[in-house]
Amino acid sequence: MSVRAGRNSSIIAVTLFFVTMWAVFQFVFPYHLVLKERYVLFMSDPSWLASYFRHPAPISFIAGDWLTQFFLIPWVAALVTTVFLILFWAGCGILTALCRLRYPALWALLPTAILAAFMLSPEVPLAILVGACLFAWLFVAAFMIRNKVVRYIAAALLAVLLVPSLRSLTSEARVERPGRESEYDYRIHFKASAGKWDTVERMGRRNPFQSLVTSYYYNISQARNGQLPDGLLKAYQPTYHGLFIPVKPGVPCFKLMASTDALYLAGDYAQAQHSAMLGMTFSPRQRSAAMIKLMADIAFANGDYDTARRYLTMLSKTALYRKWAREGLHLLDTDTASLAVKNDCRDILIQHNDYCTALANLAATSSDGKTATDYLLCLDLLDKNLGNFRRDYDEYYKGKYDVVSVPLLYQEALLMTFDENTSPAEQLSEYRIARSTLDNCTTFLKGNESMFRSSYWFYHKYAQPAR
Amino acid sequence: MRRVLTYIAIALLLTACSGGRAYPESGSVPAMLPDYTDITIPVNIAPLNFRVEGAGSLRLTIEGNRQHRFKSCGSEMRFPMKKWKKMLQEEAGNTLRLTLTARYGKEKVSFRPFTWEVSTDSIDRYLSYRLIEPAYEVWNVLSIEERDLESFCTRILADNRKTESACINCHTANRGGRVQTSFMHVRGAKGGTLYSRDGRVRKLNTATDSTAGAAVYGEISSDGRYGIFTTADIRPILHSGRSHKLEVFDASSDLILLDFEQGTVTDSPLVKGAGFQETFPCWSADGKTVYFCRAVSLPQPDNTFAMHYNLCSISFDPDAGRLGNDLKVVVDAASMGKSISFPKCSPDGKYILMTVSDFGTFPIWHSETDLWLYEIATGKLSRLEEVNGNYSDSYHCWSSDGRWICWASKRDDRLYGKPYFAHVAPDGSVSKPFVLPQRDPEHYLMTLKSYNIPELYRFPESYDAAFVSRFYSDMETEKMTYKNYE
Repeated sequence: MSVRAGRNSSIIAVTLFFVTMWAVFQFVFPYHLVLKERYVLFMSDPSWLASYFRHPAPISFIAGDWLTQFFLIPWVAALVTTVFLILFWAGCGILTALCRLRYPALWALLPTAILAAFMLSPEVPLAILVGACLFAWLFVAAFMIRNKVVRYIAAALLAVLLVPSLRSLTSEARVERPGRESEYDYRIHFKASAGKWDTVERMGRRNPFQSLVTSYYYNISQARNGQLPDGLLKAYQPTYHGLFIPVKPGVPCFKLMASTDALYLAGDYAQAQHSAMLGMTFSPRQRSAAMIKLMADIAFANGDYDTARRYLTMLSKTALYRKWAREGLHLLDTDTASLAVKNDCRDILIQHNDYCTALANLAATSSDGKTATDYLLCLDLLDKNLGNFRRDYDEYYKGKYDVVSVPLLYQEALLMTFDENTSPAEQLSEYRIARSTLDNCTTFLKGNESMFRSSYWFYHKYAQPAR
Repeated sequence: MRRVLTYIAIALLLTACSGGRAYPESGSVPAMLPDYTDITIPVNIAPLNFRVEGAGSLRLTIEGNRQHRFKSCGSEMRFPMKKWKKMLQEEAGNTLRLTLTARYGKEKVSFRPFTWEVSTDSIDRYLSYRLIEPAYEVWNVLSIEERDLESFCTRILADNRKTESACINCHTANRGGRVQTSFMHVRGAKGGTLYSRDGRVRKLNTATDSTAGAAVYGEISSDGRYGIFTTADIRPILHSGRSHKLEVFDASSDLILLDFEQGTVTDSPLVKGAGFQETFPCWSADGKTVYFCRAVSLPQPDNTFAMHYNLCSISFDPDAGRLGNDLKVVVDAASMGKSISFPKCSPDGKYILMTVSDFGTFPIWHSETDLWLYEIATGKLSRLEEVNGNYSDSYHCWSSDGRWICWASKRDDRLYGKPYFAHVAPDGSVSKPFVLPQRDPEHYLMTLKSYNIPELYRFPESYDAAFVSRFYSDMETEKMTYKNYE
């Protein structure tokens, strides 16, 4: 192959590589990059910046964290990552050329491809890529020094710096393989965070990977409109596991962070705050602007204005949450009296992840316990525990929320709990069950089950434990 | 003529702009961060750097034996170390009058003067504390730091990233002892209790077959020979309301006595068993009495709200290494509907400082938790109104001369503990508290770590995080043996 042909082939290969990389970042796994934003807190504050200098590779982390803030916008994430990969490749290309290797541009693609693969792990910080670029170009600069002695001293110094920096850059990150299912989960999480509930509902109904996280967000999309029982069985349900994400050792950081949303919606602010705090504590570097925002929200709802002020002060120094935080601080300075404390439930003690007890407490004592009650009843139903359902329904729902109408799901389940010794008509009337529901039940029992795939009867008969 | 008038006009304008104008008095003490107004400070404390929000520049005039002037271009006042130390030495024992002037744009504001009383009582030079996210009962990264209170220097004593993420806690020194002795628990599979005496470190396994588990909360006697600890089966549980965050209860708890010289663990039938729960033991100044908290044992967690711990005492014979038979209730907190935790005796033997909350044994998440002072001779109980904040004040300790107290206070934001100090006069009166000064006055606003279990001591610890890592991985463990109570 002639030199010119070789160069042309290299140009084509390199162009193809970077276009492919960008396409993967932009179209295949965009939310793997976007999720990095969840693991970053960058405050434009001298003391915060100074805190970076207590660890190796401060410049890389400062630049990386500052840029990662903007990863909430998917195309920014793809573009920034690709640009840094190109810079890294260029640096490596010059270094391989200096080493007189044949096809330096192609050789340089090898470390670039490895780095690109690493970048698809959400917990791997952008700082690694920034640091790699920095070192590649510093080595280039060192090798450009004409004086041989100075050149080798500079290269040796860089090599000495490289080791602790690499250790620091990679120590906290958990590398995971990118996947379509996790991409779907991350996507629905961010759509929910952005308040795009129509998209969340649509994605939840599809749930192509039968993912627990997707079901979880679908259920939140229903519950926030008071439609949890109506929409519950219109999408895939991994039994009761799609209602809450348990917080326990070994749960990935992303799920810890996501677990807060349903608890907050149900009004269990104590557990929600606990989950948010754990989400931040177990993030790669124990910091997360998104979790701080969530904790500020929870503190507001709880009437913990001193806590809210602390978090808002921090967020007022970030790029993306600044406006929101300043509005919150203004509210605290001027009009805390108008802020309604939403949490008025009785104080009880519960074990971690004991959702039933917490929800029953909220249902019984909170003035705004409708969502918690729906969650509790749906939890009973998805667990196929009709005894508990009937008990909880009678205690927390009947006479309180069934005045206008009773959701079809509850009607179907109630029919299954009826006492054989009591008159059916009396029970139908007492529980406000429509005649049509009874007729449907009769049809179902006659064997026409396929007509009622979204019914509770079908779920109760065929649902298997989640994988 | 026109030219003369012009000159006169210019002259009038110039005189109007210069001097003679009184700067507006704000009429209140400056909104400085941290609040260092009207406090008593030790003569050897590091500079009390502070910040005034929004100020373009600051001028501070301090009047004592002589006048000291400080200025800064910006909203932060960071005192030069040499000038600060010199000033405190010159003004030891004096009450300083501070006048702060801040410039906001073109306007100058003189704030109401405030005072600093420079106490001749030096504070112990070193403070250890645990840095941990306030994630209640779990941790990811935690460390124990040693801070030189005369400067801003810190040193990491232990880092759980070097001990397989094992929990590290309770760094405690023998207050007032001639030879500094301290302990620290390093949990985890290869952990043990780090016992350091005069620079020599031992790794101890304090669990025996005859006691309920390893040593947890406790203290070392001032001579360093004995340790009094609790063996508690500690369990965290969440609140599902808005008043509290987390509850920690003991499924069971007893007291054990460690003899570090003999390598033995012993106890007493009076401070163990299922009928009562005993916890948070501490030594009296003379080492002849053990104070501790004790409550009737009730099934947990159903009765956690009903757990009220009294302050009790039991005698101790240091020569025989034996707890006595005279268990007494010192403060009947249960009758007040309160619960006592963390009693700590002052080194002069006059007082017991303790935390008082509404119920339970772990008050650091209880907003109502306050420090109370008990005068041993008179039985007088003071609520220390001048010291306590809105939220939890707990995990306190005394300086070795008993003139200073330090504790972790969540007063500013309910979640993050910070070390606060206050001076204790011989008559038991306590000064307004101030927070541990930092080089950066905004430090506490920017950190996501809580300062936990602050502990004052006189000499720097002989080990560091690298040593603790080797301690955890390689050091041989001395197994303590059980000695029957006779």
